[in-house]
Amino acid sequence: MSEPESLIRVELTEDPIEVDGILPDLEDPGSGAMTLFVGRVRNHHEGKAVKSIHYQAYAEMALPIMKKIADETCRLFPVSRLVILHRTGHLVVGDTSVLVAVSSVHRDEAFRACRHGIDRIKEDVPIWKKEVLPDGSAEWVDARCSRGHSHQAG
Amino acid sequence: MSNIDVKLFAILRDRFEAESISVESEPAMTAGGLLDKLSRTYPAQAAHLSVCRVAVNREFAASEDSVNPADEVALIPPVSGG
Repeated sequence: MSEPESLIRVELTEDPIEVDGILPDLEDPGSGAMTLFVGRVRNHHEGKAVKSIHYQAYAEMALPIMKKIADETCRLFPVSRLVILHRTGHLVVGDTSVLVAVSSVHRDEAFRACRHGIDRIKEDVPIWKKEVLPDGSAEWVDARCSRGHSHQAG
Repeated sequence: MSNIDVKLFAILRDRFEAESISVESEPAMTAGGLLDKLSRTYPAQAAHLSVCRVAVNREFAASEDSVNPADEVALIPPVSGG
């Protein structure tokens, strides 16, 4: 059987990300595994309470890089369906900021492809978050301090 | 000599209070040379500039890549999306 083509959906959006809404994009009778990473706005960061986060993007560069990461993920792993979505604008605690979803033939490939996608997004996509604290002050997240905290959501 | 318009984002946009800054281009200017020149011109921002990557025409540039006035140039502070 020839290698089936991967179907890819990549979007940078100001609209809320509805997780359920992407499930039809993952439908593929040849895939036995689906993995989903959902990054959400958390109510704390490095010991401080966080009320909301503003996401700023260099959209003209961010979207092409997200597409490049999608293509790369499909080259490295046997992915049949791939969805990568990232929010911009003002998000409150609990909002979905990023989503990576994969359909693949087996679970190992599906997990690894999903992990690769989110890790590469966090390395290279020109998007920045500014946290708004309960007192109304706001500061840019220092990404240099956050590197290596792979357990951090979002 | 013409100028290069350099796009700013995140903390740099706040610190310069501008969405872009204009830099006088130099013959055979490179991405690394542009960053060095900015650090010399704006020493108060040097610490922030030193951790930036340079994007040329919406792709990350290596330090030795050339930068010309017709290029779309941006400074990319450490990204924090996700």
